[in-house]
Amino acid sequence: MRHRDLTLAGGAGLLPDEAAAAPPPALAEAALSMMPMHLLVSADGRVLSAGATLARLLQGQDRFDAAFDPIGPACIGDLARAERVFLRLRSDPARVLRGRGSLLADGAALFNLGFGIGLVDAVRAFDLTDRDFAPSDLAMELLFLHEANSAMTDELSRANLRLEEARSKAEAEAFTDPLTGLFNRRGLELSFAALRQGASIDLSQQFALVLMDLDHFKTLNDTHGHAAGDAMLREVAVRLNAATRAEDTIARTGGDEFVLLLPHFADAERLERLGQRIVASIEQPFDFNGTTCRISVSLGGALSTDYPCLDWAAMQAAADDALYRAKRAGRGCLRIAGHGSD
Amino acid sequence: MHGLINRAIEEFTRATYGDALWTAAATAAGADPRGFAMMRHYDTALTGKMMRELARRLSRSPRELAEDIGAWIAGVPSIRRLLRFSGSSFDAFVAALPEIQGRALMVVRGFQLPALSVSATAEGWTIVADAEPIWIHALSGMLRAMADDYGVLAVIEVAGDQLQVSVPLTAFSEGRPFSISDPLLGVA
Repeated sequence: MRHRDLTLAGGAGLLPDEAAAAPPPALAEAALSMMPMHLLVSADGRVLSAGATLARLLQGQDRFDAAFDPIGPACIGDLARAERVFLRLRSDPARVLRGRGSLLADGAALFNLGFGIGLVDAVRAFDLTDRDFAPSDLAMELLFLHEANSAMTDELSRANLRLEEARSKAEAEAFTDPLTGLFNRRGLELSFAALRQGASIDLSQQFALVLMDLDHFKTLNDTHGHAAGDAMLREVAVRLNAATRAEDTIARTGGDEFVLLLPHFADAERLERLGQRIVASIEQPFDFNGTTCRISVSLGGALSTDYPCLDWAAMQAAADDALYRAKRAGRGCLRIAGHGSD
Repeated sequence: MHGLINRAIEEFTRATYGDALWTAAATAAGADPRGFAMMRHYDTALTGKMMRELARRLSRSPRELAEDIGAWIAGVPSIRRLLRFSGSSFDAFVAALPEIQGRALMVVRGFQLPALSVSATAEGWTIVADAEPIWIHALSGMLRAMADDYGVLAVIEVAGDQLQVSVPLTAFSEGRPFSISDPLLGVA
């Protein structure tokens, strides 16, 4: 088994097995061997020594000027005296090494350099491994954190997405009538709020509100049972969907009460025709387990163009009045607030 | 118990045995069958209950299950990579096990893993966890998987509350490729 010295293991590189056999090196040599990112430059700019990792970046360059474009002082002597040096690689100008230098007695300069925050990118670009860093360097820890951070962020994004989906689903359910799949009262209010928002931008926004009650729905329930009643409500939803446009809102707001919100609707005659189509469609016989059921519908409408400003409550009250008039007129018909007479 | 630990148990169960087993065991243990939130803390007793419910349904012991979970976690690509960052060889990896607690805390605040201590023996190492015995079993599974990953033949045995590790063959197989720079190489 190889070395089992726990104080050394866990770090990286620079622990060659053959080290024990060679005679102990001089201080300078020992120090340089522990600095894989060092650069020793003569006073006239020749590279005298480069650490193993830095040598890979130099790609054989033996002149300091040819390899580096210093940010700040250009003269090697000044660089060596600076608190921090930043050296741009000429072969890869986006990459800036940083470190500090030291001026030696013979005018040569020793630099110890690092990748700084560009570490992750440098590891990729030069395919570096843990052996390319001094064990005292925190490069591996930084890479570990970078990787761990990415993994956690990915995981959190996935968790967020799941929550988002669950929320959309819960919201859709909160606005939907489970029996028919139409909007419920909250869904209707949401549609109206959206309509009003659009209307405030586009003042020409015109819409119709239609309240409708199925005629004698209670009788159908009593005669054929609740299952038949539920089936009928679902069928009405299907027929209303077919009779209206995609942009229209259809809501079921109570037992047999439906509301239509019809944007871009200003013409009473057109609304009258729609009412007739809906009545005709709903009055079509409906088969429930071999029993033919029939039902009709009364509708009361109101047009936003009849109001000087958008007044939801007033329109609702007017449509409700119109619905009452429709029922009094014998049901199975539409009445429009402010249009026609009894 | 940190949600990440519970999530690991959940993900292991779902991936290995399917969602149905997970839902049944979670419901029986009183956990939310929709799953654990990873950034929450849970009552440690819930984790124990969860492990017992799973083990019972699989006719295994919770310790065997813990070992499987440890091995499974070491195979999750992103976690396997983080583990490989701990050492360039299996030797270095084992020696650096005491660092795992600090690494976990550095990445996720409040993510408390048990303190591990490693001492060298004539045959290899002895590892002790300052935690419930089940952790040592989870660690044994994780170490077995990592030995495979590094390509060494390791003998890993639980002895009481300790783990004995020896490596009779350091170059047993090629191991799996690992590059610190390219996550894609690690997934394979």
